[in-house]
Amino acid sequence: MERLNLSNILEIKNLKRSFGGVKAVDGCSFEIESGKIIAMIGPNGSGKTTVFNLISGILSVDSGKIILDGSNITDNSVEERARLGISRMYQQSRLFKNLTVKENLLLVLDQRNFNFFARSKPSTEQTEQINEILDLFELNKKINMPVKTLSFGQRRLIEIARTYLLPHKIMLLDEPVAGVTPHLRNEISKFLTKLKDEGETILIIEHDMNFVYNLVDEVVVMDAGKIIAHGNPIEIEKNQKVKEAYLGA
Amino acid sequence: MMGIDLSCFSQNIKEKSSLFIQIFINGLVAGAIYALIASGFSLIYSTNKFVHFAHGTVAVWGGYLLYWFYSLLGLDFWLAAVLTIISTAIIGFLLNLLFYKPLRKRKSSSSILLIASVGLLILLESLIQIFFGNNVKTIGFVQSRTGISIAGGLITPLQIITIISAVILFIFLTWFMNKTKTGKAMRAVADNKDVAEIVGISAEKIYTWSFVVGSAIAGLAGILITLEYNLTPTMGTNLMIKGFAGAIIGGIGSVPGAIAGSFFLGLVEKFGIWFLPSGFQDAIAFIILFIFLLFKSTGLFTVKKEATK
Amino acid sequence: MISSYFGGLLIMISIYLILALSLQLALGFCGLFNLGFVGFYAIGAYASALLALSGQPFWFCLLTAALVPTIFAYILSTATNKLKGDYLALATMGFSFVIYAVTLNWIGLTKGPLGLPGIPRPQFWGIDFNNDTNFLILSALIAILTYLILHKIASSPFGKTLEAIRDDELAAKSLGKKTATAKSLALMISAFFAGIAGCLLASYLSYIDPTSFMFVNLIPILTIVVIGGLASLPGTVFATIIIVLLPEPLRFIGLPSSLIGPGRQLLYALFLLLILLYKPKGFYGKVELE
Repeated sequence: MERLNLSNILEIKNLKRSFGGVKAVDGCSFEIESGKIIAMIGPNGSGKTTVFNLISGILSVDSGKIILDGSNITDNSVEERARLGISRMYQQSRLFKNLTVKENLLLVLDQRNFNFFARSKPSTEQTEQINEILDLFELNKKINMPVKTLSFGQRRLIEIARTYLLPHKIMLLDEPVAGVTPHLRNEISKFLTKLKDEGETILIIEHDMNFVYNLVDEVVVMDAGKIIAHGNPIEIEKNQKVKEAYLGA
Repeated sequence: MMGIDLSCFSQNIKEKSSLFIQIFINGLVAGAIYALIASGFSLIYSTNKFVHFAHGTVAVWGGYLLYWFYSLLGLDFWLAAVLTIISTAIIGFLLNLLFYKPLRKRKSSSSILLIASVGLLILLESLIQIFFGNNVKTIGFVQSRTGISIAGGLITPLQIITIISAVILFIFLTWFMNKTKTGKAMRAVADNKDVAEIVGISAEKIYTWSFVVGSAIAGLAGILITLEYNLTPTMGTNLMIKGFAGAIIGGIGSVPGAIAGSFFLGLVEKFGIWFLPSGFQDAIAFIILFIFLLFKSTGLFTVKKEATK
Repeated sequence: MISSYFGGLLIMISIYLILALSLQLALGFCGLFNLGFVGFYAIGAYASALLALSGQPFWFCLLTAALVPTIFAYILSTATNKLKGDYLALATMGFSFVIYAVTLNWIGLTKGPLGLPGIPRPQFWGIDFNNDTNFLILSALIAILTYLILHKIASSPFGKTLEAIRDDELAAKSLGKKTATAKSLALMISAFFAGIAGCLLASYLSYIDPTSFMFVNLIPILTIVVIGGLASLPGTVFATIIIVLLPEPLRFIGLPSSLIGPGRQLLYALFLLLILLYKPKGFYGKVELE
């Protein structure tokens, strides 16, 4: 039964992916409407990051379809999907560690990838965008520092900034607050709320239910490669199957 | 008329088949030599997970040490041979201790270790040139170069010994890797170093052992190669490429596979120059190596993760 | 004008500088472990030598020496596109072995181990390039031009894309960068200049043979790139001068001439190993070799 819902930014249809004999993702389907924020939760090994990898194109699907804003992207490469509007943040730090903060962010904004002749410098508009986001995260002083000199939490902020600055239709955030200080958690939470108000579509993997509770519209719960529950936070909290999955894991 | 034709015909077949046997024998001899290099190399690679490109030059050092002990110092041949093998084992031990271990400690990637091994190759090679000079050295131990006739092909006693050594090595290594404690530990580390350490195997000790055993085998290789072919300082790179090709053909993680792959390479080389100009003999190994690296880095005998991603 | 000994050294510095700068772009900026670099050098040298010997003008020899390796680089990078880490290093190493084997064995083309003697010096604008000083000026100018061009490329958006690929190729892809194309281009540019260096070598020495292009000849260039510091072009200049000059004292301390060659190799090897062990960032680098 196909609902032709044109306000779906992302549709996952019956994704399956195995590794050897292990079914990491075993028939997942859901849709994300424009402007919604959805959290994916579930015990370790339930397949959440694999779903992210399938959506962003790092892994190919064994079967199933991925539709971004009406277009079937199931066979596109990682870079093609990025250009079509998927902006992803990874669980491990994937910044360009030998480059400065400014250079890292400029790489996102500057699409003149094969231009040999210009000087690599942000335009006025790009400088504004970079300064604005660094302002928000209180990281302006670090703008010319190599990323490897930043603390873990600061690096996560830059990665969030990077994910945000890439022109996108949907942001995929993989455990954005794992391992950061409580102060930074608040900062990030405020930032995501601001994004929500701006109408952004976001899919987050998170373990911390408290973090997502007030932020998200829907929660998708995975266990052993399948979706076992999908609803708003209040429903999920009361869901018996979910409790079993976490306790039994 | 018919009679003469037929006998010409059968004479031709006899020549062709005896040529075939000769080439086959030559292929086995060459293959055996490569197998001697490839086996030690493969032992080191499978355990340490990087390409120790200086291995061939360690074998050449074996040859020069034999020359030194036997021809220059005048020691008894068998004593000289044993000393040679011990010495190359020590060289391997030192290379690991002084260069590879510190690099591993700073978490160098296998590409860096490869580059370091090339540096070591040049280091060892220039030392040979400095100590022994550039001209060809011969060791006059094996006097008898007359061949024994087998099925129409000729083979010398030394060549027979070389082939038998490779086969014995095959059996020895298979036994060593499967039945001895150290060998099994090596396979464990080769398979999954972290898990091996959890069960109490010291990876460092295993790395050391792999260099000692592998380089001792290189010493043996050096001895046989020198007796068969003479010595030049720059032989190491060429030998290494052949050995490496043999190891890759047989499956880069598999020590017995390396030996089988080397025999295969030897045969392909010798049959290859039946059709191609003889200058291309070395090129055959290089080209096979290149093709295997591009397309089939898992080799013919192992089931292993592909080299991509 | 300049003593022919020093002139010769400066010419070699120019040639090595062009090689080192081009390897720096591929390895230091883009992280490509292309160990087949010497193959491009060889192709450039032989292409240029053969054309020069058949009377072609210098500009044509130089251009061909630059373009033919570039084509090979395109093919090689496409073939090795999906390889990573030491498999890439090994496959590219294999490439340089194959090129070496061809120069050694395709006697009809390259005269094999006998080499190609009698390569003429460039001839244009009435300048006598048999005069080493004039040749020095030519090679120095080409080296300076190479530096300026590579500097421009390195500080362009393309250069930053290469650095991004070096630091994290997957992240670069996630930003929409076409990394395979970028890597290919980096290798091609690198091969382009290596070919030019080959042309200069052939003209300068007037004789080339396969031994200059064995795989191990990569080591001095690699040493320069590592010592100078990855992704540092000024560091590369500094390191080239040091590496070319380093073994020269061997000539003056009374070593027999047969030992100078191995002595030089020994020094290069030791230098490389020491740098890898103790100063992997080199002297000016910000990036550690890994």
